[in-house]
Amino acid sequence: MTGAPITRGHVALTIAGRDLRSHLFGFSLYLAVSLVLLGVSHFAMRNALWQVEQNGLIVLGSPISYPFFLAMWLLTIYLGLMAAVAIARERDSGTLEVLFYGPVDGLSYLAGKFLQPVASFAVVMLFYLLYFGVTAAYTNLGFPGQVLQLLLLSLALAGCVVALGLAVSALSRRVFISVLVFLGLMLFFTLFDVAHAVLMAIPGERLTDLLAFARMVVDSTQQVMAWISPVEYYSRGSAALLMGERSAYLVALGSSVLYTAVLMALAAWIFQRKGVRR
Amino acid sequence: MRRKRLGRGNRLAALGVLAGLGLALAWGPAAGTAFAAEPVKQRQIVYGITTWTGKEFAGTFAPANADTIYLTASTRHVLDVLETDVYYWPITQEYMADWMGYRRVIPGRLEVLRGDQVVATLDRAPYTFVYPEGYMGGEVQLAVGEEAHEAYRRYQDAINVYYDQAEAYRQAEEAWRDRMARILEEVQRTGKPADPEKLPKAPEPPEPPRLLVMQPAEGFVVQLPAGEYTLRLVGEDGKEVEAARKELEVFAPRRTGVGYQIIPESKWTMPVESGDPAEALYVSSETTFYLKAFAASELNRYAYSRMLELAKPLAGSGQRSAWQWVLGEELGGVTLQVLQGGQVVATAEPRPYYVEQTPGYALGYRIVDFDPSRPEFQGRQPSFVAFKVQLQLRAGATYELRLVDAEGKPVPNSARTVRAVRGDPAWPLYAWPGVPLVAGLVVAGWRRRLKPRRPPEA
Repeated sequence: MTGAPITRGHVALTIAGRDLRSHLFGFSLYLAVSLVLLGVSHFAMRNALWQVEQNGLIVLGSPISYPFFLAMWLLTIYLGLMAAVAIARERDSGTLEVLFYGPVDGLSYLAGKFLQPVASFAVVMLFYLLYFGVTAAYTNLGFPGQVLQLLLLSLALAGCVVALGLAVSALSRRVFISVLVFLGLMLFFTLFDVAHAVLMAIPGERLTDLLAFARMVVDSTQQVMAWISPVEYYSRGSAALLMGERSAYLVALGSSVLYTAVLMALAAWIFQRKGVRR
Repeated sequence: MRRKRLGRGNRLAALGVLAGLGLALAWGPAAGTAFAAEPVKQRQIVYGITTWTGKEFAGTFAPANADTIYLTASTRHVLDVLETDVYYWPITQEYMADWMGYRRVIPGRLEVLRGDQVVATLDRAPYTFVYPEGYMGGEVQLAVGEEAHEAYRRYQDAINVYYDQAEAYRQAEEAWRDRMARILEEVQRTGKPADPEKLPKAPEPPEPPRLLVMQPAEGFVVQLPAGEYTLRLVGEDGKEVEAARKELEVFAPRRTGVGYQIIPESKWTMPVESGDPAEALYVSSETTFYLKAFAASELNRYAYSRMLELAKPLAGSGQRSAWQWVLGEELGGVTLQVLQGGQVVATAEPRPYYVEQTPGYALGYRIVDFDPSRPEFQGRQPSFVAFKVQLQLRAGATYELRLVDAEGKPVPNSARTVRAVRGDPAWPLYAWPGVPLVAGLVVAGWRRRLKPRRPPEA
């Protein structure tokens, strides 16, 4: 008696489902979400309120948008880190080799490892929606418009970062190296974004030769970063939403998905070449 | 022996250096001009540029090393090709033109090319700037061609009329003084006070004209749609003036809308601006503020900076990817509406206001309605003209501001939300992040209960 053939999709879903259960039934995800929201409350939300309090009247885009992005970005890094550790850890411990004696191949394994963090992210989004909804209503800072589109962009951002984490993980045989490379990249993307914003905000009369040079370098590099950094796809998409440019939003979303696909293909290729053995 | 000789040589060299330094110190101040940082001038063919910023006309110039001129699309700007002495001024990091020292107009026609095709050929035309309410009045118009001469004649006529009136006033005032002196003499001689009803009224001084028109000059008036062009000057001999070839980038705004200058009642000298229609006003305590509405456009920061300050090599550097909202001309013929829950709860028209200092030594001021008929405002001008907004603010209240035109139709992109924020008490902001933690504890506890217990060992 033989059962139905086991498809790749089935294997991927089984791996993702098993990992997701273990993740959702664990405590670390909830702790991470709470810590992120606590940080956002203290550093971003209170700061926005303090600014209004100090000035009596200020003009802002949406004071919730930045905390919302910050919370998402931190969680994305956390999930990306989990992905970056995943393959390297299982390869390092030897469980990966055992797993591949079954009906598992590289593609289904990677797909499973990709789907799990993205699904976790979707679950966490519910907590985020609850938190930001309640906070926006209490403080009257206003919830950003077009929440659904923003959530979709966030999901795409999570996909990019998780795919990047998997590519890094596939490349490395050591968990430590994988973590180091992934966190280094995330730190670089974040700092670049901050440096770009800070340099752009310097008024012309305060611009020294050195700052002008730094600004030119950063602005030129930004043209490249626009395709490398996942944050840039999100920024482009949210800017398009603000301006009501639907086509630009769809392009940003589509580019994000393409970025994820390219990185996943890269991860699969590296995984194939590196093999499952220690 | 050798060492000794070398030592003597060194001492001689040191003495020489010291003597040189001493001479330099003694001679330096006396010959101060010789060491002064007089900039090196270079004779160049440059473009004089007068650009429309959206609010006013601003001047800059394109030195020889500025390859591209930047102008906003579909608005009139004035260019001219001149020869002058150019020098770099390191203190402000910009090139300067010594217009007073040397200035020569390069004759010819200006051709505007798109690719290889000439899209416009321009001759120099007379132009001038007309300030209907005076230089400080805010409004400025560009008059070109015969219109420029006509405007200047009108201005001269107004000035002549004023001089005549002033002369007539001077004579009338002199006659009035003579008459008053005679009455005074009469009073002193007779001891009888004069009848106030019969006293002559002092003549009123004439009002100087507000209109100001500059003397017309000549230049190339340029108005082009967005795009990349090349400028070339064809001399009177039909040949191109090589040094006058420049690239021209005409740029259009990414978005347009209505921008506001918001003057809080408690900080009237520190207004805040809002150009982006997506922005909102967040208030904690400010219940009264004043708004001035302007046409606003979102421009590329690099192109806009280069347009205004082309002589500054650093202007706009590294800002090709940045955008900024620029407030242009003030909007007229509009009414401000305040809405709550979609219903109009108040309207406001622009009115003049006057800022008066509170008496005493302590700092303070009041913003009051400016009423020119009241004696305390005689001879004064209003501090500003704006829409006054007064809100009944309670924490959590949300209003919407918008402009409507004379027909009552909302002006596109003029709406702004006003939100009264609440941050006190702050503990809920720290309590809500605990929700996921509680959820995690519940899930972990539930899972623990589901786990099969290990059977007791025998």
